[in-house]
Amino acid sequence: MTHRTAIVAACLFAAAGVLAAAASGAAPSAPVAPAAPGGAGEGSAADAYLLAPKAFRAAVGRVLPSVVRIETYGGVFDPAKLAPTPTRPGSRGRGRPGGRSRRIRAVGRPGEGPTTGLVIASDGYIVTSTFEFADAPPIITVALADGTRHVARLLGHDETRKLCVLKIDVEGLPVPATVGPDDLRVGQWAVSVGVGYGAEDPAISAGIVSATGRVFGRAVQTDANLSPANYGGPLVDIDGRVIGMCVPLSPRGGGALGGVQWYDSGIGFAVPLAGLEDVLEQMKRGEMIRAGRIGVQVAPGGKEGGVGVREIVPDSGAADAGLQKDDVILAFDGQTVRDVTHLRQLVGRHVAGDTVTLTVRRGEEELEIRVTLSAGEDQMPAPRPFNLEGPGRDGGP
Amino acid sequence: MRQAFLILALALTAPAAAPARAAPPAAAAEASDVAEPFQKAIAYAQKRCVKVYGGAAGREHGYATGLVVSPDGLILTAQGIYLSEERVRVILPDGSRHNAEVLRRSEPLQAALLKIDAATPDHFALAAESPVAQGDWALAVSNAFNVAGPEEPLSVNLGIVSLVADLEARHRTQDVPYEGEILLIDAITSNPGAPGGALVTADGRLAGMLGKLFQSTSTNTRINYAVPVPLLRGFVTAPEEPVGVGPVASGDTTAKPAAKPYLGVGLFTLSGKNAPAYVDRVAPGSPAAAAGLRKDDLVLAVGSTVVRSCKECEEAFDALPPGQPARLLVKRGRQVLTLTLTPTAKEDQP
Amino acid sequence: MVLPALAAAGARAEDISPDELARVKQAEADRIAAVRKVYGAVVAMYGQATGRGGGSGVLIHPDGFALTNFHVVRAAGQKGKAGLANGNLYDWDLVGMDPGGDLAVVRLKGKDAFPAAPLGDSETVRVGDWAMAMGNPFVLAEDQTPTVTLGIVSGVRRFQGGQGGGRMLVYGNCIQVDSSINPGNSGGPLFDIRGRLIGINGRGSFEERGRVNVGVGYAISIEQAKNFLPDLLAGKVCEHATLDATFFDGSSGAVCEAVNTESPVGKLGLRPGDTLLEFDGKTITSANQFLNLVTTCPAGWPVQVRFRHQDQDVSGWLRLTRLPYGQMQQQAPPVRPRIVPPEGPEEPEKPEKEWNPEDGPPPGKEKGEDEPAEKDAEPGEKDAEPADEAPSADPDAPDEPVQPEEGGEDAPDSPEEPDTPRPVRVAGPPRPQAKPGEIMDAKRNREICGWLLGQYVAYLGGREAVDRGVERLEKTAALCDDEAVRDAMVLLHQEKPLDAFKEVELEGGDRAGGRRAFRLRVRLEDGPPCLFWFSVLDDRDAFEIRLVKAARDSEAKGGDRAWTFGDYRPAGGLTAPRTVRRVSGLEEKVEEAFTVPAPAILAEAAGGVPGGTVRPEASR
Repeated sequence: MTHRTAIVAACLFAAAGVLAAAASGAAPSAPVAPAAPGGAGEGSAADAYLLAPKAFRAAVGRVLPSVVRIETYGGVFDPAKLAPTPTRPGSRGRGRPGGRSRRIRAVGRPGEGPTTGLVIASDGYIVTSTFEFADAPPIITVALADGTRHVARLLGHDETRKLCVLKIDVEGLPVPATVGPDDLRVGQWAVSVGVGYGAEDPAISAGIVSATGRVFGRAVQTDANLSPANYGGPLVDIDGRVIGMCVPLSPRGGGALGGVQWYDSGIGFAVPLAGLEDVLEQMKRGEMIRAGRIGVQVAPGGKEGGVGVREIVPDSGAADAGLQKDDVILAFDGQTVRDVTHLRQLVGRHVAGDTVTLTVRRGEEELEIRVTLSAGEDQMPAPRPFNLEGPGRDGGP
Repeated sequence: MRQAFLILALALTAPAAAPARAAPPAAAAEASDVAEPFQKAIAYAQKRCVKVYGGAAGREHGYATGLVVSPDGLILTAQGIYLSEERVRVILPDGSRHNAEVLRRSEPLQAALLKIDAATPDHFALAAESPVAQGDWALAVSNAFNVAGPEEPLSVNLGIVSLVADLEARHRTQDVPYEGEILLIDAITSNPGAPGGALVTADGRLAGMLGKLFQSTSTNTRINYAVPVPLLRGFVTAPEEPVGVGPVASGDTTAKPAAKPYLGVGLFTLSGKNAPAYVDRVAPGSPAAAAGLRKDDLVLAVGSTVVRSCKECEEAFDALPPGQPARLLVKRGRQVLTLTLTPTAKEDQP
Repeated sequence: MVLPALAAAGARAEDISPDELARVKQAEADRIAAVRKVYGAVVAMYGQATGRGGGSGVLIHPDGFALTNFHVVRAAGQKGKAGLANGNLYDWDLVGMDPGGDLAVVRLKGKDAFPAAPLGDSETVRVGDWAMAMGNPFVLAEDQTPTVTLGIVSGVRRFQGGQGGGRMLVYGNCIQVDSSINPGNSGGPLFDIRGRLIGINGRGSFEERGRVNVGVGYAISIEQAKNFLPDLLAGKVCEHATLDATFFDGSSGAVCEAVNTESPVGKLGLRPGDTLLEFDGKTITSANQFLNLVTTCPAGWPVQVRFRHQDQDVSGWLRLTRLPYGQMQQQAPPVRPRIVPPEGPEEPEKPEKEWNPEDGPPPGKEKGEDEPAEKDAEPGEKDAEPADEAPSADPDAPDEPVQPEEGGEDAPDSPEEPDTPRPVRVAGPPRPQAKPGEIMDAKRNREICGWLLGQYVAYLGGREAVDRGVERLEKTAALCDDEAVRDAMVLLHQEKPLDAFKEVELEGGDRAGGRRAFRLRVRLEDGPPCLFWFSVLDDRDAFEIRLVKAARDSEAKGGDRAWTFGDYRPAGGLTAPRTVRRVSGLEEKVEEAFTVPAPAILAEAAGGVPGGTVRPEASR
């Protein structure tokens, strides 16, 4: 028989007497003595890490009263009018043989489970991710932490942050504490909370804050698992305060579903609520915040740097402002533009409707042109008006 | 100025030439006070997990991980096509290779029990109660991607228990027959080679067996999960059951009752006759429709007969006397319902 | 509010005591502090324009030297831009590269002193240890701040085979981690929980989802990086080592399967059937373990081997042979030994699902080799299309997150299937003018020589101290019984030493005085060439560049007769060696030992004696 030496690991990781005893005993090997956590000594750093789960649970417990479960209905009654997407959220099918839903779905289509949301105002405003609402479902219900279910209206949305606001007719809801962006530290704990699996309990995932100010300065980045399981839900710190709202985001845009390809990859984004008051008010009023575009096709700017304009998109802010083909954009609101990527980053921080000043070289002249950014193609359809008084025209659930 | 100049003990003296490089003593002393809490649990688990190799088929991988669950060579692993081959091999932590026999499988748990002809004193105890709660650290020990060579230690990934819940999952286009609760974790374990691996707590207790590469129907994403140890315990200690070896040829030759019953229900058999008995279609106006049976219901029992597969269900249906009401136990979503179905005789069919 | 059903069920809201929470937060604060300490040393690596994808790197010396992956510079070019956490962009130049081990060194410029990460010791890393990866995955850092991810070490001494014939981008003895590593992280640092550099991230195992992290990433060990550092700084296209013998797992351990009898180990007497017992001071237990070790060694590295040949233990020192890139030669032993156990099941095969090798040509054979090395792409011009434009490109070539320069200002992607990886293209691949083993750029090499000698002089105590201590240095040199070496040594310590020699070249790396060392080759006018070795790091892995050995240059490269310098002590402002030993052989067997007499004048003038204590001089 082939002689096998002990594996290197056994040498490297040989533990103390406890394991040796367990290994040689006849009884089913006992596990390692449940340590005074870590067994590395009273008050050691290892202990502190072994206590972290307790802190995770406590942190989640603090935000949970404000976490809601959102379910949408409608598709099963009007299949012909559906966009060609498989399984409507909320439908009960487990997959029908031979039908569209039997194909392997691209990641990015909402599954059958509910969506997570977070109470942001005690009089019934809830914020969630636009991820689940790409198909503008006509019927939306919200289940609160106390178990009661309410019908909700979809108000406005912010395309640039993939957030939207719902309203339910309830008062006295608990609003969670939030973390100020200045209080965030790269390397601190971050725990996501979401109900997307449809179970009675929410799912949680622990990671750290990986970076702040990502995706045009709008999001905190984390390596906690973010996915449809928790899009629309909160990311909290070790004290249970909300760092931000979990959303699929990507600098590439991609509509309501852009960024989902990064689910559970250790790259996740949460949009901080602190500092978002104006945007939230706009959404509460039913407004749509869209990404802003100048409206040009671009090319590298040549030897002097900057960005060259190849074409003007008709009916855009660029067209209205009189930008011309072959103009070279040298600066954006006073900041020198290095290259196309840099320009995208600068534009990306704005929304449609913002007015910016471009420094442009045209021939021999250098001009300052003010441009009002226009909106790109609408990524999300406007919400259908919902009749509060009776079942939907579809016959209701 | 010379007088003032005195270099202090920046003096780093050169040690005598020694070809081998020893770890600086300073590093060893520092190591004990750093925050490394998982060493013991990992060492414990790595000695009790094995590498399992079978046959690859199409997109299915031919390798997985297994758990040693008895001192006499019982290995728990994930059920899969790779175990259908004649030769299943197991490599123990000491690098020794053994042929393995498949003793039994569990479709509901997607697990299989193997036996090797060797003494395995280092084994996991299967607790009757789950040692984990949501939020607890969970160490996943497995041979993901077959990174570990035959004598090399298994890989370890760290996560927490995300959720304890029922599974509604899919593997590619097919629903998964798994039944029962699972431990969802946030370490990525949905990787080739990981199924069958160990999920252990920070103090070394086995919490579950890593599951297979499934997608959640709720989120359309890959889920990382483990089968909880109490369910595994039930499977390992269950009395001997015949081994399921794949779809059984239809064409049963037992005599059927003279008057065949008509129910008006078609089962979903694309996954094979041994797949669970899901209703695929219900003919309008049929006895099944009258009973309230619906598409996607899962038939659990026909009368007093528990049915675990399409084959069993069809046999049970065929045995129903026409005209007599029979009780069907079906699972619909999360509910279990009792329906009363009275089959008609086949001649009454239009 | 009434006790929420969801809340109670979900969180099992057990309380954590304030004391326990404080301890958790203290560990969290320590981690945050460790991140902050090294944050400034993490580099976002770009080619000439920041928009074309990128990778990562890490500064390891305040003078701007940074480690990164070879495959990052291959995509980026001979020079490019680097972003640091302070938000600024700096220019970088390629210094040296190691295609075999996927490492490269670049030099940033534009700052007097860059933040540098402290080097750790990957030999002490264990499975389960915390591991923090930092870098620029998916080029998300608009503001150049690095992404930090936390995980644990999943495996150590892992082996991930190479591409292009199996000789390039080999990750041997590497660290496996589950800290999230994605395209764009390549070349970036892996830190332990205290902020010491233990690896360079560069590969991952990817799955059906495409190239996003699935919990299995790999980092080149810092020990390997240290081995190659002098060769990289010398600006070489590094080569890896081979023993020119293959082994399999036999009953006694690693048994020789085939050996080139003309190789150094063959000449020592190794023959098929012999068991390899020790390699480079490490006990060998398996063929794979040996292979792991040898992949971390540079070509020409002096090592000691011990094997059993017909009941006799044979031991000896040798220099490892170079492992050529490119097509496998017929005689060359295969890289990965075939494991042939006497009985039992076959070795299970590796899965196909692993990342596929790219059939990129090895450096020096790339298309466009004839073009001048430093041609910049004209802005606006399409990239010179490099030969290796295969869609399934570099294993972790960072994704290109933005649209190509032409086209819409913003053309958001439709939500797509798990991405098809897109190659990074900037100014075309680097076009080294040198073949593997050679120095790419003589001018750059000379600059590094100047840097090296400047570091040495600083270690000695500064220009003034060296000038004042010239007598002592001459006494030290006099102990070397070779006129050429003596003369060269004196010149070495003069001001502007580069001008003093007819030829000066940093040959690369070697071992001397028991440490990794730089090897400098000099030649006086009409004189024979001499070699000087300078240490790289001290016991704590901080940079410490001091003269440790000198010899006449010969084929043996100091392996015949040489002098080592040790026991450096400060004396009168000058840190100088007290001991000189004449040694022979690669094992540096001591033939004679001398103590450098302390010049009385020096001791008196300084008011101190060697050893650092202040004492009035008793007598002259």
